[in-house]
Amino acid sequence: MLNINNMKKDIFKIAYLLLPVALLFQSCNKYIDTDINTDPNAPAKVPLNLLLPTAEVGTVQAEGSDFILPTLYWMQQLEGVASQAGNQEAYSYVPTDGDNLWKWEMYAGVMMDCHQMMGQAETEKAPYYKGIAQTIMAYDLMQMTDLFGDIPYTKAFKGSANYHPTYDSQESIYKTILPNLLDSAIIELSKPASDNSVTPGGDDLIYAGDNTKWIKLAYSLKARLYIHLSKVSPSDAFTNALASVAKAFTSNDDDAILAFGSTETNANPIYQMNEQRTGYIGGLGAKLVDMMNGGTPDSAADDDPRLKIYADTTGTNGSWVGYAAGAPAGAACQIGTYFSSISSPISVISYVEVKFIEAEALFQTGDLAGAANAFNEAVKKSLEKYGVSDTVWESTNANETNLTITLAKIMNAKYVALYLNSEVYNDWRRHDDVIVITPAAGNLTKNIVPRRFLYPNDEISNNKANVPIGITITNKVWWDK
Amino acid sequence: MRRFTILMAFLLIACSLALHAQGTQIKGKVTSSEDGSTLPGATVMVKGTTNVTVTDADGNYTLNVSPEAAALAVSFVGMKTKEVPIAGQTQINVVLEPELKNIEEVVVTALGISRDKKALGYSVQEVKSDDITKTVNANVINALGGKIAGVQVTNSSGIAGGSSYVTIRGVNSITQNNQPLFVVDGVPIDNSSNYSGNPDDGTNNLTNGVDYSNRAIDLNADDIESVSVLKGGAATALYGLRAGNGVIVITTKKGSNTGGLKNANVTFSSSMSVDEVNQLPGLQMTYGQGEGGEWLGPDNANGNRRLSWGPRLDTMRYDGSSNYKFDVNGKLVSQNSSSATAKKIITYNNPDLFFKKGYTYNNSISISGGNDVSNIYASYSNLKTDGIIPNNKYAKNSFMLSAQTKVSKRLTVTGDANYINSNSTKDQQGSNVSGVMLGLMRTPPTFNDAAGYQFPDGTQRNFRGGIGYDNPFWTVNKNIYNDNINRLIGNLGLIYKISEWANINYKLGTDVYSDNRKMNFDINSRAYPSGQVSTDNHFNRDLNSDLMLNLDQKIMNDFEAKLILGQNMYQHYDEQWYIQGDQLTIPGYFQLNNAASILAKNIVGEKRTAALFGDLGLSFKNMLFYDGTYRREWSTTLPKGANNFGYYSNSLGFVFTELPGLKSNPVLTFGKIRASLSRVANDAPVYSTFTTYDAGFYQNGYISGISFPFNGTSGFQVGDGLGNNNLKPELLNSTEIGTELKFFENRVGIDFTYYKNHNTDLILSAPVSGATGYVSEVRNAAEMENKGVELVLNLVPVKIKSFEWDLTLNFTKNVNKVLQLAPGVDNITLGGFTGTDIRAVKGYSYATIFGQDFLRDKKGNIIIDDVPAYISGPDTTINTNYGYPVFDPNNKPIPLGSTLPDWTLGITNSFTVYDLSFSFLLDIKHGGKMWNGTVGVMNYFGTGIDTKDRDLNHVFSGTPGHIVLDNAGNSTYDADGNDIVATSGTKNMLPVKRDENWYTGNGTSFGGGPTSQEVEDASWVRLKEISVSYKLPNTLVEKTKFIKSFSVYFSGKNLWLSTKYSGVDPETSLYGASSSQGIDYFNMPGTKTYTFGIKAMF
Repeated sequence: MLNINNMKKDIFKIAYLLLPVALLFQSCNKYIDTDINTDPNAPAKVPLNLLLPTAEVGTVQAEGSDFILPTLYWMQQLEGVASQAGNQEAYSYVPTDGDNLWKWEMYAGVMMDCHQMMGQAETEKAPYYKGIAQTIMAYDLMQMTDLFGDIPYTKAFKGSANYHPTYDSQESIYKTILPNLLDSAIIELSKPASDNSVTPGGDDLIYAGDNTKWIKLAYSLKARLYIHLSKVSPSDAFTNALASVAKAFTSNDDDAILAFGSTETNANPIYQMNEQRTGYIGGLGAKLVDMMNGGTPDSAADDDPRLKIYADTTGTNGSWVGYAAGAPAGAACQIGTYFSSISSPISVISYVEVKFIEAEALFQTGDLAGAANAFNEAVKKSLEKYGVSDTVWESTNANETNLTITLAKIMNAKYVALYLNSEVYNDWRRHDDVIVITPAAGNLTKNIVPRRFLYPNDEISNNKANVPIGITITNKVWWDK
Repeated sequence: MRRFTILMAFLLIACSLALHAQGTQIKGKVTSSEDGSTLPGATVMVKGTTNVTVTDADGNYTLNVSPEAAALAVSFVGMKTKEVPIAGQTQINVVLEPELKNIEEVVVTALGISRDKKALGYSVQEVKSDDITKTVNANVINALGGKIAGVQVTNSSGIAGGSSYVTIRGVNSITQNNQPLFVVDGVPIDNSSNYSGNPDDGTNNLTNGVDYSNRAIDLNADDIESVSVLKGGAATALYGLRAGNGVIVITTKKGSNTGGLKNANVTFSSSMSVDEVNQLPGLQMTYGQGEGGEWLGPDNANGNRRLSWGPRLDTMRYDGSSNYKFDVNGKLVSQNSSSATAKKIITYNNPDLFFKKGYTYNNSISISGGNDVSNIYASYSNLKTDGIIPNNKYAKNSFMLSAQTKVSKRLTVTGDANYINSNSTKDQQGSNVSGVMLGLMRTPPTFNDAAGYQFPDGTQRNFRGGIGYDNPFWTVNKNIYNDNINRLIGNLGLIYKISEWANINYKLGTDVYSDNRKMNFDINSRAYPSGQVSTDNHFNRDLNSDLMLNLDQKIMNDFEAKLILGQNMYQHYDEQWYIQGDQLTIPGYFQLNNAASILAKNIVGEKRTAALFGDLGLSFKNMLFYDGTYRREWSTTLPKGANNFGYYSNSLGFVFTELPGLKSNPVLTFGKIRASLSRVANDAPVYSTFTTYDAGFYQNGYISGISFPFNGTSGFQVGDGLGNNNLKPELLNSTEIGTELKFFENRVGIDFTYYKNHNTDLILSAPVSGATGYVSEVRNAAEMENKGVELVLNLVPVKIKSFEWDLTLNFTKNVNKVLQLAPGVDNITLGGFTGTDIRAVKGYSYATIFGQDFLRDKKGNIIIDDVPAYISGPDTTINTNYGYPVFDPNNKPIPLGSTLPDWTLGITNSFTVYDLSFSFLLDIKHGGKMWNGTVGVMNYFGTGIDTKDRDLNHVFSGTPGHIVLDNAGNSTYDADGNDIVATSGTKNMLPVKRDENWYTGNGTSFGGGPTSQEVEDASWVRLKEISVSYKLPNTLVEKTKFIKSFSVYFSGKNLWLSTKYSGVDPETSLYGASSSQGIDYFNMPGTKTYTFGIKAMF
C-alpha cells in the first residue's frame, strides 16, 4: 500500500538522481549533430579539371564496348559467340541489353558529367571547358540518337526537378540541338585564352588542352552529323558536310584518340572483354576478313596490309579466316594486339573518316575527281596510321580516278578503314545497298538485320509515359528512313 | 510471482512458529535435478499443515515437525512440487524436477525486462539453452529454424563459416535491412555481412567472391542461456529504431549462487561432428567432352571444348598415347579407329572426388558460482571446422566473463565481456570463373579434375586447356580467401535500488570488432589471369547507453502499476579500407608489393541517435493487463530540423480464466486473449540527404571497367544517387491479436496469433529514369504489407511415470505484398542476373523472380512451333524450331513466382524414458521458388543429368501454334505488346530430341531461352535435427562425489531431406544474408551433420 511520506522521500531521491540525465539532454543538440551526416567518402563539389578526364574516358570506353557491341557483330566485323554475345549475333536484342549503356554509361554517366561541366564552366568563366563539354556531349548525344532514335535531351539532366523527361525527336536533335551544341562549342573554344579563369591541360587526356584541336573535332563531328542526313535531305547533307570538312581534321595527328593504361583497372575495354569474357567476341567476322584477304585465307601479297594489324592468327594456323556470321565453326583469327592490348588506344573519330565523308559528299554532288582524291588520301592515311604504308598495294587499292571511283568503293573502303568504330553501323544503315550484309545464319528476325537498339528496360520501367512504344529492332530510325 | 511466493512463505512461517513450539527437527538440502544446483528460497512444508519454512542461500532448511507429521511437500517456482515421506528421518535431501509447462513463465522482453508471459499483450517465444546446443551450429541463428513460429532462417551454404539469413514475420523494407536486431544482454550488436571486392561494384560483389559470414556467427552457443524472439511492433516498439524487423534478445549465462566459489559448478562439454554434402545436382556419365557428337579434348583450341555434347562414351576407346598431358590413358578415339586400344573410357564423378568429409570439434568449459553478494560466470570455447571443401576452415575462440556484485544494500554492479576471435579460409563461389562449383559442375565426365591442377610450367590444368574456368582444385589451393575477426562485446550495468518500488538502472554497452580479410587470385587463375591480391579491413563500433527509472507500485487492492522512464543514446561507426593490387609478378606471393597496380578505397559510415521513452504497465486482479509505450527518437541521418519523431505501442492481455466462473476449470486450465496496436519508425540510411560526387568509375556489366585514377590522373563524376533532403522516417504499423489456451493441466497448449503489418513511407533507393542524370533517388515512397498467422501447439500425448512424450508444432504463414513503390516506379531489382531478376514489384510478393517464359495460349498451354518450314518466294527455309516450344526474346519479363514460402511448419517430438531422451525436429517449408541457374547452365554445357536423354525422343507438352507474322515477316503484337499467336488448341504430339541445339538454345536461359524453365519449387521436408542423449542417473553420479552430472549425446542435422528441387539443398542463397534470396547459381552445397558429444558438470 502507498505510504505517502516514504513516497515523497523516494520521489525526491529519484529527482536528484535524474538530474544528470537532464544535463545530458541539454547537450543533446550537440550530440545529434546532423553535420555528422555529411558524407566523408565523397565530395559535394569538384573542380572542372576532375570532371573532364572522367567524361573523356567514359566516352571512349563506351566506344570500345557498348557502342560497337553488338553493332559490329551485326556488321560482321566481329562474331559474337559465347552467351549473350551469341544471342546478339543472332539478332536477339532485349530491352535490358541497353540498360548499362543508357543509364550508367551515358545519361547518368558521361552526359550528366558534361551537363554539369557546361553549367559549372559557364559560372566559373571557363569557356574552353564549356566548349569541350559541349563537344563531348554532342558526340555522345549523336551516338545515342543513332542507336535509339528519339531520346530525351532538352528536359533531361534535371534530377528531381523532372523525373520523367520527355523525348526529343531525332529530327529536332539533328536539326537543332546538335548543330547548336557544336556551334556553341566552336564559339567557346575560339575565345582568347585570357577569357578563361581556368584552362584544361594534362586533365584533357585527348588533346592536352589544345583548343584548336577541339575546334577541329567539333567540325569533324559536324561533318559526321550532316552526312548522317544523306537519306533525309541529300543536297543539304552533302554541302553542309563539305563546309564542315573544310574546317575539320587535317592529319592523322588530329584524331580524337585516347590510350588506355597498363593496369587492369585502367585497361582497354576490348582487352577486358577478351580477358574477362573469353569467347564472347569469338573472333573476326568472315565478311571483313574476306574483304581484306584477297579472296584466299593464305597470307599473301594481295592481302590488305592492315589485316595483320587488325587480326592475329592464333588458333587459325597462320591463315586469315573469319567466322561465318551466326555459324561459328572451326576457328577464326582474333582481334590484333594493336586493338586488344591492355593499353591499346581507341579512336572515336579520325582524319581518315573525315576524308571518307569528303569523298562521299563530293561523289554525291558530282565532283568525281575530288571524290577519288579524297578516297585515295583516306585509304593511304589509314595505312599510314597503322604504319603499314605499302606503295604496291596502294597502287591498285588507293589509286582511284574520276572514272573508276564508285560509291560502293568509298563505302566499303570506309567499312574496312573504320575497323572497330561504331560509325560503320551508321554507314551501313545509310548504304545497305552497297555495303552488303548477308543476314547471320539462324537469326531470330526472319533475315532482317537489326536497324537500331530497343529502348532500355530502365526507361520502360521508370519513364513509361514518355518512352516510345511498339518499337522493334527492325524498325528504322528517322534518318534511316 | 516468485517474490509473492516467498512473501507468502514468510507469512506462513511466522504463523507456524507461533503454533508449533516443539517437535522433531528435520534438516536437509534442496537441489535441482537439472544441473544439481542448490535452490535457495524453496518452500518446505509439512503436508496438510501450515508448518512451512524456506531454504537459505545454500538451499538448506531446518524444520521442526510435530510427531504426527507424515510427509514434506517441497516446492519451488518452475519446479514440480515433490512429496517426501518423513518416516522418522531427520535428514531429508530433496531433488526437484523442473516443471514441464509452467503457466507463470517469465520471458525476456524489450530492453531485457523480464515479464510474466501471462501479462503480455503480444506474442513472444523463447528458445532455451538446451535446444540451442542440441546440434552443433557455428552460426547460432541456425539453431532457431523450425523452433519459433514466424521466424525463417536460411543457411546460405554448407561452407564452414558461411552466412545465415533470418527474417521475422516476413520482410518489412524494400532496400534497407530486413533482418531483426540482435540484442545481447541488453546491448544491440552488429549482424552485418560485409562483403569484399571493389566497393564501386556494390552489391554485384555478392554474386561472386565467397560466402561472407554474418557477424552473429561470432556468438558462442554454449554461453547462451535463452533466446527470446520479439516478433511484432508491440514487442519491439520500446527498442525503437532498427527494431522494426523484430528483435532477437539473447541472454547469456550468469553466475549462480553456489554458496561460495569453492562450490562453483564447472561445466565441460565436448563434441565432434562429421559433415557431408547432402545434395548435389545430377550429372550425366554417358557422353564425353565436345560438340556435335565429336570429341574435343582439352588441347583442342579449334572447337567448343567447353561443352559435353561429344560422343557416346561406350563407342569410344583410349588411344593409349603416353605423351598426352591431360590424361594418362591418352586421347579418346572411336572404337573403330585404327589407333583405338581395348581400354574403355573411364568416367569421373568429379564432385565425388572433390568434396570430402568435414569435421567440427567443439570444446567448451565454463565455471559458474558465487554467493548471495557476488557471482561470476566465465567460459572458454573453441570451435574448429574443416569444411567439406578442401582448405575450407573456420575456427572460433570465445572468452566470456560475466559478473555481478552487490556493492551496497542499494547498488548492484553487473558486467559482461565477451571476446571472440574467429578466422576462416573460404573458397570462391557463384558467378565467378574461379568459383568452385562453376568449374566443377561444368567439367565433362571424361576429365579428371583431381589428377592435378597445375603443369610443371606453372600453367593451369583444367578441362579447357588452361582457359575458361578454374579447376576446382586450383582455386581451393591457389585462390585463397582468409578473414580474421577480433571482437569485443561487453556491457557495464548499475542498478540502484531507491526503494522497494523504485530503482534506477543504467547500462553502457559496446560492440567493437575488426574484420581483416585478404583475398588472393594467383597468376593464371581464370578470374584474374594476371593475378590479384586484395586486403579488405572492416572496423565496426557500436556504443549503446540506456538509463531507466523503474517504478513498480501496487496502487490499491487488485490494481498494480509499473512505469519505466528511460533515455537511450546510440553511436555507430564503421570504416572500410579496401586495397586491391592487380597484375602480380611472382606467382604464389600474395603481397601488395607484388602488384603492378593498386586501387585503394576508404569508406566511413557514422551515425548517432538519442531517445526518450516510457513504458506504462497496468494490471488489474492479475487478470487484465495493459501496456503502453512511447518513444521519441532523434537521429543524425534525417534532415536538419526534421530529425526527431515519436512512436508508440498499446497492448492488452485478458486472462479470462481468472474470472470467477472459469477459475480452476478442469478442462481449460488457462486462457488468455490479447491484442495490440503499434507503430515503430526507422530512420534513413546514412549520407542519403545530399548528392555527392564519386571517383570516376565506368563499367558495363560485362567487364570490370575503368576505375580512377586513370594513368595517374584523378577523376570524379556526378554521383549516381540523388540525395533527398526531405526524408522522413519510415513507419511500420502493426496490429496483432492472439490467444493462448491451455487444457487438461497443460497437456494441450495452443498459442495462436494473427497479425497485420502495414509499412508506409518506406525508404528506398528508387530507380529514376537515367535521363534525369541519375540512377536512383532515396525516397520515402514504398508501402508494403505482411499478414500472417502463427500457431504454436504444445501437446503431451503421453505422460506416465518415467515416460513422457512431448510434441510441439510451430506453424507460420505470412503473406507479403508490395502495395506501392514510388510514383512511376513499378518494380525494383533486388538482385539477380541478366534475364533473371529478384524484384520487388507493386502488387506482388516481395522478392518475386522475374524472367521470361515460353509463349502460352490463354489457358496457359505452351505454344509448340507448328511451322515445318518458312517459304519466302522461291526459298524454303527449314524451321529448326519445329516441334519445340516457341520463345520470343522480345517479350517482357513476367513474374515467375515468389521466393518467399507459403507456409512453414516445425514439428518437434521429444521422448523421455528414465534418463534417456530422444527428440527430432521435422522442418517443412511449403512453396517459395528458387532460380536454379546451376542446373540450367549444366544442361547448356551437356553435363546435367537431364542431358543424358539427348538421343531419345521427347514430346513437349503444349499446343501446336506459332506467332502470326505480318507481310514483311515481322512478329505482330497486341495492344499490350504481346505477340499475337495462332494455335490449333490440340495437344502436341510431335516427337523431337532435347539435344545440343535445344539446350544451347531455347532449352536454357544460358542459351538465350526463357528463365521459367529454371524456376523450381524449393519446398522441402527435412529432418532438421535429431538427438539422443543419455544422462547418467543421479544415484550413480552422486557416488563419484565430484561429478554433478554427466550426459552423452548423439545428434544429427539434415540427415534426411525430401525436395523436388534438382540442385543443391534448396536452403541456399547466392546473395548470402541479404534480401535477394532465391538465387542458386553455382552455390556451394549444403551439408548433413552427425555429432557425438558429452556434457559434464563437476
